[in-house]
Amino acid sequence: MVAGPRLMGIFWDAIGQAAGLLISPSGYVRGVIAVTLSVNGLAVLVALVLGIPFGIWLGLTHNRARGLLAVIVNTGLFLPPVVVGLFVVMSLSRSGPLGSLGLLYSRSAIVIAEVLLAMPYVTAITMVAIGAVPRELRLQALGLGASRTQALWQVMRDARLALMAAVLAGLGSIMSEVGAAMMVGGNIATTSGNDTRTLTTAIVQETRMGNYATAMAFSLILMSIVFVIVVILTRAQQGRQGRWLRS
Amino acid sequence: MTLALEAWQLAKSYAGRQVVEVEHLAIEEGEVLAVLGPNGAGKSTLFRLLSLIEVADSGRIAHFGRPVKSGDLDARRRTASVFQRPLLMQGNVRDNVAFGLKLRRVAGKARREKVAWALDLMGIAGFADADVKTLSGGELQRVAIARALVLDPKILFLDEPTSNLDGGVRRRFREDLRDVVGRLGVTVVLITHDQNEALSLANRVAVLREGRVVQEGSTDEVFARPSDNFVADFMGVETVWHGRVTACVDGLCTVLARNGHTAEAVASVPTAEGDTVFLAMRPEDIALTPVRAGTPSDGPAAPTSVRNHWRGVVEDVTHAGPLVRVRVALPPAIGPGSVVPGGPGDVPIGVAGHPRGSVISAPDPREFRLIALITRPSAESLGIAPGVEVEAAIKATALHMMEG
Repeated sequence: MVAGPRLMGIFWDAIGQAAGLLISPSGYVRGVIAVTLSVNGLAVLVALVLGIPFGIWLGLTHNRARGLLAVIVNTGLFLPPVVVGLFVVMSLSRSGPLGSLGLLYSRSAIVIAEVLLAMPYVTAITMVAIGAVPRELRLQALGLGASRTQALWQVMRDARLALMAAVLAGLGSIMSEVGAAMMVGGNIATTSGNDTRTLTTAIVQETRMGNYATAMAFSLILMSIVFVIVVILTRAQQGRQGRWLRS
Repeated sequence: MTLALEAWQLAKSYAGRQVVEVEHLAIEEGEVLAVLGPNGAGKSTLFRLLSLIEVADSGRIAHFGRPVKSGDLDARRRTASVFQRPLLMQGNVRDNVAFGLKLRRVAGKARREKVAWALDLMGIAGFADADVKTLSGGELQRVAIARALVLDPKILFLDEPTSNLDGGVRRRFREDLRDVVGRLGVTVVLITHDQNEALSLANRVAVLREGRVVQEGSTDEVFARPSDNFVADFMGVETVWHGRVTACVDGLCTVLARNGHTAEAVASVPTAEGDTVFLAMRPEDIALTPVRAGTPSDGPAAPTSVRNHWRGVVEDVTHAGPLVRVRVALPPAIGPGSVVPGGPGDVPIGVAGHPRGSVISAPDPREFRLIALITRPSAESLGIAPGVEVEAAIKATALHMMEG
């Protein structure tokens, strides 16, 4: 067991080393950051491209199928990442249904797992956001000559505060993801360009190895990236209110 | 005359429930048609179908003789719709009025001129730069109308445009709307549950019940000669009796009502002895005279050309602006449980097909009363008050007979 003063010493020592790594990152650190940004960025993009239209459709539809799908989407909010990881591993393993694609322990596998984890958040929040916009707003736009696309755009503009929350939730679930990424990506750090080590899996790895300074550096980098993105998105979200008045 | 809008076999259902089932509806160019009906009659659904906002399950629609469909953006852009709630965008009045023009990519001077024209037309030019959040309900609805009229619609669809307004604001808004619509000569489809709105704005009325048009005609025709009990009730005819024709001579029919009273009415539809009919009396057509002591208990108090007189007691008096609504209770001439006369010349009363000698069915309690609308000075000078015995009179020409 590590005594309190010694732990604090390690803590401050780690912070100091992390600052150094942040100022002049090594090739390893730069590689992990690059993997994180590319994998998470692609996963967010795919989750938004699939989740937002699906959520819009669910928000505008009123039938029995919609009710069932809404339950499935909401259940997805409670999916443990390791369960998703297991599902993806089994699907992509050699004997699995998608084994022939050879994607296991690749960045693509991490993207698939992260999309599966983020999509329920994006879809569920979009569904609620669009459903909360008065139906009359869309009808009013149509009644004044808007095309179906223009009318939908009006609805989305009105719901954009909540839609931004969907983006933030999707991004948050992806940026903080570690279990599934570890399982399906394998946490590989090579120099061959097939690295699958992300910031979160790297933090786990370095902590296990007792490299607290490096782990702390990765944590600070991760939090800095998240902070910058959240500041940008929050400013965009809070900058302007809904477009239509709801008298 | 060109038909601006025509619809055939228009149907729409939700979750297996038929909401609209309109056989045929036609609106001439420049006409203001009010689609009138109670809540849940399918008015708003019909509104969305006719304005091409929603897709019908079946049926056809033509605008100016050309078949149109819901996805036909050009056809929809030749119309404009105003809804009950004037949903406006954040910003000023001018930007809101320009909304539809922006959708059509009308820009620059043309847009500014059109907006100025519409603002002036609706009397809101003074508020052009005002934030819409600062406007009153009436002003908001004027902005909504201006936003539609700025688009030069060939057909203007209005869904309960005044139902959110109150009292004087509503009256002034209606007057201005009627004036503007008349000046522009635009074809209007007005959806409303308010007979007064239909009366003040429309020149034709289609009454909707459970998704079907049950009567269509000029405003005067529908108000004066409702086709059935539902329309009469909906049009504010509060006194409706059920009865049977006992005689018809030269178009003047005598009806023995289910409440036992006799009435004479001019037949507006082919009627024969023995037919069951409804008698509808508009409250403003009923005259009241207090019964003085010593007045003979039978017949009118003084010689008169009015054919129908009934004695009753004032039950309730309600003030409605310059008018007074008086409810008069009539004593039952034959009550429920009485035996229908079966002798020669007698006719069975009660529900259709009652054999002579049977016990009559219980009339609706409302059939034992009359509703009259008189002016406040008349009520005061005649001493009309609860408990006063009065004679109610109505001319045979004002008593409307409908198929029972």
